Amino acid sequence: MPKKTTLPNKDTIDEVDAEISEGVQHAVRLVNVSRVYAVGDSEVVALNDVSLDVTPGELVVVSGPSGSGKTTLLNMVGGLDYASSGRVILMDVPIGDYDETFRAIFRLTNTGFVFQSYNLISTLTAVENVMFPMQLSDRRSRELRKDAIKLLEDVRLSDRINHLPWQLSSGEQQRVAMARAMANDPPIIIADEPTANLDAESAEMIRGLLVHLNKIGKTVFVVTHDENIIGIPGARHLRMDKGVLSANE
Amino acid sequence: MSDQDYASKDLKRRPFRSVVVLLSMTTVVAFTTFLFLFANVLLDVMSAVTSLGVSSPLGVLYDAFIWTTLLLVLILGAVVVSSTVSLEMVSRRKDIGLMKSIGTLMDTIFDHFMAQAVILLLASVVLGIACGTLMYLAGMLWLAAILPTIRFAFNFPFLQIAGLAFVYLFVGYFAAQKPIYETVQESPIAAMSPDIIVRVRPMGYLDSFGLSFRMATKATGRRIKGSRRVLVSLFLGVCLASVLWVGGGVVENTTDTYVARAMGSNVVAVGHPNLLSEYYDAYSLRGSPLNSSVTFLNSSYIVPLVLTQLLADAPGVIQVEPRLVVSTNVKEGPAIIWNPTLQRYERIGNDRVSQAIVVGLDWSRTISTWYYEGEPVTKSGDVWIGGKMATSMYVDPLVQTLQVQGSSLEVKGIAFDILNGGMVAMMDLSSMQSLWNVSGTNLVLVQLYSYDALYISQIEAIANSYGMGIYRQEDVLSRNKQTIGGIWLLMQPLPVMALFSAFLNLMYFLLVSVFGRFRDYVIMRSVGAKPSFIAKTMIAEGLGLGLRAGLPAVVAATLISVYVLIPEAAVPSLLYLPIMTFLVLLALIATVVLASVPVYVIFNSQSELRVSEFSV
Repeated sequence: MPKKTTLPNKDTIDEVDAEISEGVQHAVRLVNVSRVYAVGDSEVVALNDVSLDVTPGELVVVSGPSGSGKTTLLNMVGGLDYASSGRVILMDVPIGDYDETFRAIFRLTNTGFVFQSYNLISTLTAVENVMFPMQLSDRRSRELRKDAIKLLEDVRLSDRINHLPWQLSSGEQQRVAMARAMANDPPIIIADEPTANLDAESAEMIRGLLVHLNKIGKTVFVVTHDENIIGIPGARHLRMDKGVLSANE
Repeated sequence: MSDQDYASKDLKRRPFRSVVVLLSMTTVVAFTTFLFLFANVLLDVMSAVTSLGVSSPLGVLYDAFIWTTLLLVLILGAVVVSSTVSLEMVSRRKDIGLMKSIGTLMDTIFDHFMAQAVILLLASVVLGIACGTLMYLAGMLWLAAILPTIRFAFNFPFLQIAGLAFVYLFVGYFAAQKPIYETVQESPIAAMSPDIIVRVRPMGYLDSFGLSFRMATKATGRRIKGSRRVLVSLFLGVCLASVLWVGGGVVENTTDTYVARAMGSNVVAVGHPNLLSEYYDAYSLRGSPLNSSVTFLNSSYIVPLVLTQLLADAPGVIQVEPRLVVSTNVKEGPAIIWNPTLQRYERIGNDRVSQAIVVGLDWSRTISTWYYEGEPVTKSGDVWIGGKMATSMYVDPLVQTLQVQGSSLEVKGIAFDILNGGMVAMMDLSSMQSLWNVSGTNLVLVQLYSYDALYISQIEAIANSYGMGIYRQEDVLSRNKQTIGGIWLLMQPLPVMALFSAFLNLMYFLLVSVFGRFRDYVIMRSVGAKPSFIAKTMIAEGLGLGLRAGLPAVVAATLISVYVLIPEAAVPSLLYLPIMTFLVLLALIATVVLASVPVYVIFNSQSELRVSEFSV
């Protein structure tokens, strides 16, 4: 585990929100970030001195061959992993300097994840999966369920709200994951190969949702091989290869 | 590659899971083996302690208690082993479905997974029994250290150990077969589908404790397969600990009560000093049986009638009860009964003769309220006999007679009385006086409103003025209660071990449960659940299961303790059961919280938050 600096504990949403200043300059900022994994006796450099600035409201698409470090990059951007060296700054907050509790709250309110393998909680229904981040954020509104159903309606799943993940198709599961990512209205949406396992129709729907989220001002950070996403007008396309990030030419 | 080779490779390549299952079964087998063997030793110790003459009536009560414990331990071990093996095999449903889908023959799948189950089972039973036996030997050394005066033959319990190993292997083998067989019979699609139900019953009041509890409710409520056996094993674990604590307390208190009921409370005895000394030595659990040469019929031992009347009029006296106490030879009287099978009358009894104390009393005004089996004494020719006399001198006491002084008395009941180690008979005073041709009594029991020194000194003065002495019976009673408390203290390690066994059981269930849903927990963290939320959810999961199994277990144990374990059970106070229930539940909650700690620590050390590549 990389070395981490722990700042004074901040374990409420208000305290974490207070760290985010008005007029955020960078939604995502990576400064010379490296991530090295130990595999047996050898080391694998998944990210090699990566620097990146993403302004709020930008749509960034990262592509690259398997094993190039795309997912590790996404882990950094999402505040899920610690860098071996360098600084990870999200919403102008040096996320790498904080403990896991701070990072968890930060993720809860500032990032929404869409995973390649959907990652819905197996024992919760579609609407419960969407409600889960809302409940974690201590929202006292009695309208949680109504809000969650509204989000599911937005992804055209109003007839599937009480289904468990295994009772949904791949496309439906991914749409539930999209709804969950939007649950706390986070400024950053992170998606890891969101269309990889989907049929063309479902993939198109997910692509449309990503474009919509970007249009309403969200910073969208996508790792994908999907040419339809890479080709979204206005998207900034980056390539990842052997742990090195570069602008696509 | 043979099934065994393939199975062992499969187990080695799932090291975490295999180690968890192996540790789970090994520790439970070790603890139940220890509890079983050690409780057996305690039974021997009880027999040794309670066969020392005067304390022999206690043996009957503690025997029932320890036998109940032994039975529960055996059932607990069998259920835990079967539930763990079964849970492990249930968790392989998807693999079984996968093997079927690629065309593997049903027999091959069955053999492969049974081979895995047998490897795990054999390894954990061998290791567990070895560890349990070592703990048992350590327990023996501890016993030898705290009870240096008790000597009994030590025979290594080969038979019990072999019996336990057989039971564990037998139930484990068949418990593994069922889920494998059922899954093998299923269609591959069904086997590969997650086994989750849509509707879930809310946990009621627990759900109001917050999101962690509601998440735990959904997690455990929607996972049905395998969890019932875990509930049963938790139920048994908690039931065992509760029986040992709650029931043990009831047994101890009832024994105290029986002794106090037989002796009477706040009693000062008046009589000849020699008689009092001999008599109360025979009433003390630390004393010795009555000297056979003493008869108490010397005329100097007879209490003058006027003294009895003066004692009745003394201040602070509730009641005065004259008794005639005789140490004498008694003989087992035969019974002639009709044997319907052989169609003939048969003679029962072996004409055994023994030394005993016979007590003559006025049944209508006695201060003693013995616990007895049989019928009350209603006629002058009836007699009650003590427990030791019933077991050592009779074949079927309630149809036989007692022969004293050439007279035959009908045995109407068996009374609990520790006097002379239970070698005692109680009969009508006037009948006894006529049998021995005595006109007076040689012992007067004076029951006081309170055990006040002033009252006692006045009684002593009155007794002394007639050449008699007094004996503070309450002192003997309290020493007897101390001795009973000492026997109870000897058994205290058992409930602690039982609760520790429940702790291990719960911990391994939580481990299996949490790591069965490892992916869910990692997803929770990735979407922003704080580490404290994860910890609370794990505790909530354990608490939900613990209470679902624990509450009925405590209720069942209380009912067993009061209604099954011991006749006419006496609880120490009105608050005893609620307080003990509360304490057991507190211990259960502490157990759940403690069991969750290692689970959380292991979870944290295992989980790496990655977006898509969770190791499941």
